[in-house]
Amino acid sequence: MDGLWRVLGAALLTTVLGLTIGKGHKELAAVLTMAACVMAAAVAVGYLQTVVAFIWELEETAGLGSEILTVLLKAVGIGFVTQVTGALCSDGGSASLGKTVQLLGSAVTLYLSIPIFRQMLDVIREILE
Amino acid sequence: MNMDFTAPVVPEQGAAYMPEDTASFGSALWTLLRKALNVVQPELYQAAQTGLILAAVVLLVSLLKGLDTRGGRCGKMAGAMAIGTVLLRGANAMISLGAQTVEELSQYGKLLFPVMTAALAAQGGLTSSAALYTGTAVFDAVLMSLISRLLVPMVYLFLALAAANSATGEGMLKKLRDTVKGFMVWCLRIVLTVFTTYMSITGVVSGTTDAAALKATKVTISSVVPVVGGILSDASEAVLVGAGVMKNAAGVYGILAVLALFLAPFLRIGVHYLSLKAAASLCAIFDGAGLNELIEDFGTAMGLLLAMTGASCLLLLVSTVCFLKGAV
Repeated sequence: MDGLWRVLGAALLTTVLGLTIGKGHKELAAVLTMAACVMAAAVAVGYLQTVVAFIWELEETAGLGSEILTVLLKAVGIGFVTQVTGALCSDGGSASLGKTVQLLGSAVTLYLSIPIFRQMLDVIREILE
Repeated sequence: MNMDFTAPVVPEQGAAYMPEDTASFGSALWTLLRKALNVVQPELYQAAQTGLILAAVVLLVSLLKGLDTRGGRCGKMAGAMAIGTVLLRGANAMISLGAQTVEELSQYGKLLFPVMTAALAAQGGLTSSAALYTGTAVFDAVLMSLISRLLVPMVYLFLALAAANSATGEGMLKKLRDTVKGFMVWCLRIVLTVFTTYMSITGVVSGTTDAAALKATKVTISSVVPVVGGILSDASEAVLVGAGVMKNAAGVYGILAVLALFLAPFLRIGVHYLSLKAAASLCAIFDGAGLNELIEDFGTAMGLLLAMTGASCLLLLVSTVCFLKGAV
C-alpha cells in the first residue's frame, strides 16, 4: 500500500504547487497536473493487475473460454483511460473536449460489447427455434 | 369380487429412477431418492462453473461502474447482457425440462386416474370415485394448460423484463417485471387453493394422523416448494392419512411412478435455484452496479419453475392418495 500513500502525498503537493505556479504559468501547472495524473494512473494499474489476475484465475477455475470477460476487461481499460484523459482536458479548460473524449469512451465500450449482444441474440434465436 | 388393477407402466423418462421392487413402499422410495440424487453432482459442478464466471463478470462491471462516466453506464449495460448470455442458455434448458416434466406428469395422470377410479368403484365407492375422477381430471387439465400455455411463456417474459431493467435501470420495467411475477404466483395459488378446497368439500382430505408427523410434513412441503408450498402443505394431511393405508398395489406403483418422473427434474431445477441464490448473495459483496438483482431474478424464475413442477406433482400425489383412502 506504499504506492497509495506516495500518490496521495504527490497529489496534495501538486495541487498546492499548481495553485502557486498557476497564477503566472498556467501551462506549467497543467503539465504538472498531467504528470501527477499519469503517476497516479500507473499506480492504479499496478493494483488493478492483481484484480485482473484474480479474474483470470476465476475464469480458469471455471474452465470456460470466455470471450465475455475479454470484452469487459477491454471496456474497463478504455473507460479508465478516457476518464483520466477527459478529466485532464476539463482541468486544462477544454471542458467540451473532455466530454467528447468521455463520449468516445462510451462509443468504444458499446462497440466492444457487440460480441456480447450478438451472443445474447444467438441464445434468443435458439430459444425461438 | 376380487379384481386386480394394474397401474400404467412408468414412462421412459422416469424408468431409470423407478425401483425394481415396489412391494415395500418405504424401501422403494429410498431407492428412488438415491437414484435421483445422482443427477445432482453434475449439476452442482456446472453451477459452480457458472457462479465463478458470474463473479468475474460482476467484479469487472463494478470496476466500470466505479469510473462513474457514460462509459461506466455502457459497461453496466454490457455487464447485464453478459450475465443474461451466461445464464439464459441454462435457464432455457431448465424451463424446457420443467415444462416437459409437467406434461409427462399430466399424461401419466390421465392413464393412472381411470385405473384408480375403476379400483375404487369395484370396492363399492361408485359415487366418490366419480366425484374424485371429475375433480382431479378437471384440475389436472386446468393446471397443465395454465402452465404450458401461459405461465411458461410468462417466465421468458419475466426474464426479458429483468434483463432490460438491469441494463437500463428503468423503474417502469421493474414494476412490469414485478407485475408479471405477481400474476404467475396469483394464478398458481388460485388453482391450488380451489383444488385443495374442492378436495376438502368432497370430504376425502380428512382423517386423523400423528400431529407431529403432520406438522413436519407441512413445514417440509412449504419450505421445499417455493411460492405455492404453503397452499400445498394444507393437503399434506391427505398424503399422511393415505400413507398409512397404502395397500393398493396399483396406487403404490402409481405414486412411485409419479415420483420417478418428478424427482430428478425437480432436483436439477432446485440445484440451479439454490446456486443462483448463492451466486446473487456472493456477487452482492462486490457489486456496486446492482447486477446481483438480475442474478436474483434468474433464481426467482427457477423458483417459479419449481412451484409449477411441484404443484403438478403434488396434485397427482394428493389425488392418488385420495383414491387410495376412498378404497379402504
